[in-house]
Amino acid sequence: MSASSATAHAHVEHAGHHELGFVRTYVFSTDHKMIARQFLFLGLFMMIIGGLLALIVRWQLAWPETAVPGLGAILKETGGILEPSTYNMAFTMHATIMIFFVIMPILAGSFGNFCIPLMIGARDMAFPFLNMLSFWVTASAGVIMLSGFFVEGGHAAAGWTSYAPLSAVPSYTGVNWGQNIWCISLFIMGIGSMMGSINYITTIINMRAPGMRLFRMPLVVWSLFITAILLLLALPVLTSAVAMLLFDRTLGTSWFRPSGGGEPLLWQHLFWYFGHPEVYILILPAMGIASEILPVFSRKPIFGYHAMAFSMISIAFLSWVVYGHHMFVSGMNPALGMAFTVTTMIIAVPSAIKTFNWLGTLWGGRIQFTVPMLNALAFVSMFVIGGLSGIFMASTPVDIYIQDTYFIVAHIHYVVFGGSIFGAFAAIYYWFPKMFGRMMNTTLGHLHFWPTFVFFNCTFFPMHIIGVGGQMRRIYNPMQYEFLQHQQHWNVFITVSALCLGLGQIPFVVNFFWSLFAGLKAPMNPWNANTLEWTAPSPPPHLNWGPTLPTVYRGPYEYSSPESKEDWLPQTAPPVAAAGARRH
Amino acid sequence: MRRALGGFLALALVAGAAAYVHRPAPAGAQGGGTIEATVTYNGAAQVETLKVNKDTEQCGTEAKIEKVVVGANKGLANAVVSVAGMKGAPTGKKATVDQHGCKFVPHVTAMTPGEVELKNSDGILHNIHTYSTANPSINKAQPKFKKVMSEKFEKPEIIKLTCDVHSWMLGWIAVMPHPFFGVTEGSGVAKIENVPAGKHTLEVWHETLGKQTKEVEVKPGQVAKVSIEMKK
Repeated sequence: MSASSATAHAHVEHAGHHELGFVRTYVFSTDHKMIARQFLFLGLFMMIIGGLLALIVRWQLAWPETAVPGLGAILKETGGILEPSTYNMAFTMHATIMIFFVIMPILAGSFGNFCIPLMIGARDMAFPFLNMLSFWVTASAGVIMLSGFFVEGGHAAAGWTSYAPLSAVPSYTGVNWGQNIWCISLFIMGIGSMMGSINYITTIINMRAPGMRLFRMPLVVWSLFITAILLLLALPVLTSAVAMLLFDRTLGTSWFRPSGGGEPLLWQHLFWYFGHPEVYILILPAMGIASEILPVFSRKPIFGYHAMAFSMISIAFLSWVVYGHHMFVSGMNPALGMAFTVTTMIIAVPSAIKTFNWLGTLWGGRIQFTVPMLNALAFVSMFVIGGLSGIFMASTPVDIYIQDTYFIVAHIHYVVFGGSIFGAFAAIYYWFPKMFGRMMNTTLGHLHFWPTFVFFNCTFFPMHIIGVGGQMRRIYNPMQYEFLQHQQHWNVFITVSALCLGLGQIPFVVNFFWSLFAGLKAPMNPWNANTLEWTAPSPPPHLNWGPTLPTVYRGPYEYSSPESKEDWLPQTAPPVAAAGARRH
Repeated sequence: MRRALGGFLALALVAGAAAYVHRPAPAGAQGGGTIEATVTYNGAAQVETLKVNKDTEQCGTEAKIEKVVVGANKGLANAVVSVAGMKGAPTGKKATVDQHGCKFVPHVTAMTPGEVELKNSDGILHNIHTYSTANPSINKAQPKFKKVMSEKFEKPEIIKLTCDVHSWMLGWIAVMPHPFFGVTEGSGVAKIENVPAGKHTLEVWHETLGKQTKEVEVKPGQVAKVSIEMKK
């Protein structure tokens, strides 16, 4: 540690001697904070596209085969009405974009980059150039993915899971280059993600500030560390699978095509072997973010720090042995099915530990309902609903009934919107002052949070009802099925709510850009938080701190400590000899 | 030398003239004849009825699945009659299949390789699902607002056509390698015009009764009548 500190010292002195140009500062920057901002802008931009695609899908489901407002100019042939193939493309790309180019870049890409060095007391990532490369590779994958909308035959339309042989034989979906582009983009994205994860792991292991022991690390860093390990091990499976799929489509191989002796089930195994850890890749950083924000605004230490860290570790381990629950109806030995049922139920235990610890943190605290706190509370409550509906699916007999229905759609959205997106909003509101040096507007924050929270529930909760009522996911027109017609009013209600949810994001966009340029200047530590990033200026300069790196003396959550007159005690505060109340 | 050259040229001229006189008749040649094939079936018509419980306004309340349609004088409808082993350029005509009354109309369509126009005059959601092996299979929904869809079948084969929305809907598209074919109507008669003179094998295909062949001799400018009785 001392060696790296000395190197960093020399680097800081050297850095003061020259200014980087515009391109090196804002475009091809190797500074982790700029890369974090770039990932954030990439994710937010993609969120607009992914969100609009969701609204298009919802319009079709509420008012089937009517013109979608504003689409007439693009879909000239049909006057703005979605054809089934366009509908398939819309839901496929909504999920693909939201998962791979919104949640992952924002949570793992942006906040991983921003938080890790600042919160462990490092000057930058271990491999800054690789870090820059990671962003530009991911951004290129994003551009390639978007280019698929403009090729003949349209974009991929086989669902985000791209089950073979539907995805492997171009004539099955009528999509040729769109699906190829989907494969190429995800292949490249996988490479970018691997670069990032190697960087995160190396940085956390090797570059912690003096005194920053593993069990003094903030839980968000723990969550990002575990996420990085999952990324490193899970993403290459998808990367290989999409390469194999691309070969089946273009080179005539038959990995997944039965006509050539291939096995479609192999795709499902590979996809879900990646796919289930992926769910935790999407949710673990949000868990870390909530664990960071709840103590700050409860003015209490986190309840069960070690249990929180170990539960994340056990979630990571268990995430590899539950993937089969996605394939209960694909054909599976019942004994194996039962094993996956049991492991899936077991994974609920560490999740429950986390939930009870969050509640334990809030219990008896002096809760401050700031905008980041509201979003973190929304995360906890919505994740509980998403988690509980997941237990239904763990049970094979129940899953056989509800699989591929809107119940699943409700579940996944409670986890990745209710969980990850609220977590992302919480993180943006919480770290915006540090990231951009300005405070976000609180009124606009409330105007964003409350409609989002209300309409999120109005949008996704009724999906449980229509799912149990039998509405299949991915269907083009529910009115085609007599047994679904009586619940069509729910589809209308959901779509109206989704439109309101979309409109509810306008205050966020206004707040984000207004605050970026005209927000109040942020003080160094606006939330009176303990972790190291709040000891750096807002925004932190290149290499984060002055010549000396902070030294860590204590854990990250010593709020309302008897050691301090204030209700917060930064990690850099040396211990008072008389007090023996150190935690962690 | 000159003599030899002259002789060679004369021989070439004679050979050329002989080859011209005996050349195979091109498709639609003026010197061809017509085949009038009457396909009969000695059994009873095979029709299944199915109760319809969706889109009854357009589909009616009962669907008839006509496996064997027998008309007057035991004439067998919906049989494809073609001259085997022929070659010829595609006609260039666009075939049309309509989805009307939740039926494919006509039930059997024959065409040369090229485009087929798939109409949806019912104004409800249909789904074109082809079961082909030589051509790429198609599984495309055709919503009510999509009145016409075009698809290409480039390779000869007989393709089964279904609609996944209305499970009883069944049709056939026979993509033929040449233009010498016809589809029998209710009377069981199919006419094939401009068939090159000579002896040919006539091939009959029926969705339920299978394939059968018969020899026929075509004389220029004449109608060669031939009867074929399909057996179970």
